[in-house]
Amino acid sequence: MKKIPLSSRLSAVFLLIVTLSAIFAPWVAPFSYETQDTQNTLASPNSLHWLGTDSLGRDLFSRMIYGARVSLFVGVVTTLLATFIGMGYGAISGYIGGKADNLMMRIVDVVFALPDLLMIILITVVMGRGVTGIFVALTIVSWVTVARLVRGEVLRIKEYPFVEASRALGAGHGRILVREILPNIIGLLVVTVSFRVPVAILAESTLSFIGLGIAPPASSWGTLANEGWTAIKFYPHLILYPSLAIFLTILSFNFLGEGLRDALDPKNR
Amino acid sequence: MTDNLGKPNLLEVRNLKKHFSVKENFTRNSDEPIRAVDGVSFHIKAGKTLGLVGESGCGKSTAARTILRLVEPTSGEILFKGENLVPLSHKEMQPLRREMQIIFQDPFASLNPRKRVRHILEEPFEIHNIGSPVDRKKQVEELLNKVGLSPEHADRFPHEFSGGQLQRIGIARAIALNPSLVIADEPVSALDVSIQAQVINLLQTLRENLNISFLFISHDMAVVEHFCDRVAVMYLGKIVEIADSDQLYQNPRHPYTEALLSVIPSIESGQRKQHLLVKGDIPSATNPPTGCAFHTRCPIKEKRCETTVPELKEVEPGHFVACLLRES
Repeated sequence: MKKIPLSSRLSAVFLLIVTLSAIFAPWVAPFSYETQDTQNTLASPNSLHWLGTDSLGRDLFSRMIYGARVSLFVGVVTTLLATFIGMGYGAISGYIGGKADNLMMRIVDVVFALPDLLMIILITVVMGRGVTGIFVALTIVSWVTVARLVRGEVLRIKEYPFVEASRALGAGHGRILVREILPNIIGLLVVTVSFRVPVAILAESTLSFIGLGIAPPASSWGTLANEGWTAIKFYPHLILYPSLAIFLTILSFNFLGEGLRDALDPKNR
Repeated sequence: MTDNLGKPNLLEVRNLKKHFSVKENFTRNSDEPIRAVDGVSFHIKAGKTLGLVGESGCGKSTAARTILRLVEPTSGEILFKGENLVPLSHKEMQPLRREMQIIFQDPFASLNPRKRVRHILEEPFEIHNIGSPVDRKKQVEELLNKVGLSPEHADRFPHEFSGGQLQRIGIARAIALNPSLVIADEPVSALDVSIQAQVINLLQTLRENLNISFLFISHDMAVVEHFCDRVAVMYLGKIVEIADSDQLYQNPRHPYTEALLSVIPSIESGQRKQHLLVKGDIPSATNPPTGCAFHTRCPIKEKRCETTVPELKEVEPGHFVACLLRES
């Protein structure tokens, strides 16, 4: 087995720590996300409030740990949903080919052509502010990218002689798709997921930033950055640390994705 | 086209056609299809080998895939052990697939890179529900032995093998279910010459031990002469000459066959054959020449070749040729 690069290992450790502290937030965080320390509003990082406090005296470190819950959950779940939907749709479209493929891909084009932000705003307006609205909106705008990618790969792979060999042996369509074709796009899917998770985290941040994300006093990294933004000149720590968390998480997902893709490729065994 | 040697035909193909329609623009197909296979007839007796030769693009591989119903024929009949395969549904084809298998040209692309050899070779048994997992394991080991590999190779991935070894695995998969017919689509043309000989010898051994009939597709006249009992020469979707190997190689009738044979290298000095070169490329199958399709490149063509389509005619027992000038 080829050695997994250090960057991927460190990324995995980092993501594990973030995930665990998000899950066990009430035990890990030194304060609650809404406790106000009115004596120490807008404090810089110190021994009591490790990353400082905001204008209401809430502990930034604790709010970031609670915020990780929303950010990670939204990022991972919407990406997995979008990947499953996109994979199924794209694989079937590419495998059937012909007119059905043409029709299915035109539908994808239509969804793709609608401006993402407009769609997300519409859906969150209809479904109300909250995590569910964000899920639905982000899944709807991101499955099409996966569908296109997967369809392209299936179109390429289904012409390989090993697929023909399987047909010559009498394998059915389901077997060919699941056992012959899909294993060959696992690498692509892993990389896609690792690139889509950050996109979803960023999208949630954007939504929160423009005020369509989750409602206060709950926090996500996006809402924290948004709050910090207003006082960037005088209290830079308020935007610095949430942004850093977003940045490091995205970077880690990308490194992890690369490492996983290589680890899953039989050529590296 | 029957020679009464007593043995039944394992495979008989009658007037097989495969036309592909071409997209002219987004909405309509062009009226002129590509005539990849345009009225091909031949038969293979049990245990015998038919060679199918011709240059690239003449429809050899399409013919092979059509016979296995990997490509749907446009018209014609494919009689396998007397049963016409053309009207069968894919479900009805299923049990027959055990009997007819294919070996591909590209050994790398014909094995799934994500599967271990064991899984590749177990697939035929899984699909047809043969044996328990333990039996299958044994079968895989036997198969590997049969094709000159060892059981330790079973747990490796395809990229760990050389081209020749991969082709052996491809052959093992094809013979796994004891087929009576194997279509070998240029099985050695992607391999080094030294490896070619090994693979051909393996195919020969298997043919003798397992009583397999081959449809052997190739553009290498020397390999075909060595391996086949009977040879059919294809040009632009049609068979232009078909005869027993000895007859065809010693007494070719069709000018195209002559041209193909003249490029076989010979080591006998003094007897240097004159290279009968055919000029130009194979014409487009969308718009084949009128009359005899070969007339655009034929060194001996006459005026009537441009208008009259030659039929396959028997010039001596078992030797058929489609040429107006050489049919008597």
